[in-house]
Amino acid sequence: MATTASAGMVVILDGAAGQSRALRDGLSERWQVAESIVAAGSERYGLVGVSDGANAALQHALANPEAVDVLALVSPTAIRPADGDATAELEARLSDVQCPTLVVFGQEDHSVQPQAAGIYRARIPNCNIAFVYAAGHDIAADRPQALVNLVSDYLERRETFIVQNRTSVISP
Amino acid sequence: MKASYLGAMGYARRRDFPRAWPTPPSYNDPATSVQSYQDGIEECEFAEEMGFEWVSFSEHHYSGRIATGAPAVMAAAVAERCKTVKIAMLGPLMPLNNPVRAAEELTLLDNLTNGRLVMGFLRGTPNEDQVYGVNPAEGRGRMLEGMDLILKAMTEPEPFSWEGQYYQYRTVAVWPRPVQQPFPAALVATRSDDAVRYAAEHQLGLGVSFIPVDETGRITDKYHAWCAENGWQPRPDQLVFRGSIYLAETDAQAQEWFDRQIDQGRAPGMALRSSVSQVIQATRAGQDVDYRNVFAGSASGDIVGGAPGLTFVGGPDKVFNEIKAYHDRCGMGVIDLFFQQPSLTHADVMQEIDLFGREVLPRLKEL
Repeated sequence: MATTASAGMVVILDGAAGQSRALRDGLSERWQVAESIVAAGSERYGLVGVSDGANAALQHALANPEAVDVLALVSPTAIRPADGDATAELEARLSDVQCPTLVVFGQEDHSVQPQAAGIYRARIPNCNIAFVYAAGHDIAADRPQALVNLVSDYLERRETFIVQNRTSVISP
Repeated sequence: MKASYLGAMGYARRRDFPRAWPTPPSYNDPATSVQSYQDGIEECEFAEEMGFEWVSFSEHHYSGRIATGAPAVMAAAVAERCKTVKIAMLGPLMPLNNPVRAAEELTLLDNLTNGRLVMGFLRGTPNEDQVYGVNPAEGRGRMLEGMDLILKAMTEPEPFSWEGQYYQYRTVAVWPRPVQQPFPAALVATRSDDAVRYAAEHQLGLGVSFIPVDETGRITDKYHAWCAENGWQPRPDQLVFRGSIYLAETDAQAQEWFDRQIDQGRAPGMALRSSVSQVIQATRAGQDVDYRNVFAGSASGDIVGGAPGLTFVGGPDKVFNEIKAYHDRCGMGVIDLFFQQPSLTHADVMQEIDLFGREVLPRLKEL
């Protein structure tokens, strides 16, 4: 995956707990990584948010559809269906997200309600959800390479990342 | 206590098989094979008639001793003939199977049976590691991840991607949904602490096979303790013990039959070359293998291991008391019985089912 040519600009919005270091290191092998919207300048960029940062990234993508061309939300906690009205307004606005969106959860993330993933998938017009096995809320700590590979693949191929492109030939 | 009939569908002339696994396909005569499956289905029907409440299926490969390498196919056929029993899929073998395919087969069976499915997850015997080219060292990891993926595939309402250690699927959206919600009755068949813990943490049942009652009890003690730690207690029908049985009218008749088996000294169809067995066990345990020593010790191609011994042998009273011990000591609520011993004919097995249904089963149901 390592390459000298940057595949484009990616902004990473970290969570308060600073979970994104492994993700930043991994993506920087292929992408020009900025750690703030301002640093990205005026060009369009991919936006990756982690935990609280994912909530901020979602809000930013809704407010600036012209700037964000692909969105990855890692362990977002913005949608909490069991909390009723508290997140209902945001839920309703998910249909306004205009760019391809990947939403990633750790399979063991108990801070996220199980129904949340399906709500992102059903409401955002072009959305894929992914579960990372053997990972909790801090996926970058539990399965860093899996997270980097997944997010990087999505940033590059968007919704077509579902098409397998690895060879299965054993002995040509 | 409930009884389960293991639908082994053994090939009629299984007594002629060589000891070593796999059994060469040349031993299979299609006409005999077709009749063997019909006989096996008839045994399942008769077991249901005699009061068995489950019929179970097991995934074993490359041998006619338990001739259901594709157990979902067999379960679907029997489910159409047996209309009330639970259909217990005790496979699939988790390391071997694509978990998404397994989930599709299981939810389809739950639909075909209108919610009569019981599903069991297990790792498989060492010889099964050689089927489909799975590294024995990865079996446990594949089993634990496979169970997570199957349960996720059955419960997640929207299409999703799975980024696993052993499995990566970018689109999973299993149809049909299971009839039993959130997923069919499920158990983990294991003796290993990590898988017993998994069952306790996920509120799944536990299956144990072919070992003495005290050894079984040590496993179920842990399971009960870990279930309590996780805030729940299993129902009786979530604890299943599988054993082999030979039932006769009297203890003396059963013993006479058993002694003849010892004299014949054969346990066909499941044993391995000692070199292969040694390497599988070492690889499963994560040990390095010095192949020179392995080969030096088994140049003659010794065959080791074999089918597990018989768990229950005797007349009705003795067999009842032996099964009752698993209920009393271990809390077992379902006894899954393997009647098709290699030397027995279909007629012999039908007689045993009849005797069991008349003399043993009514007393088990009162436990």
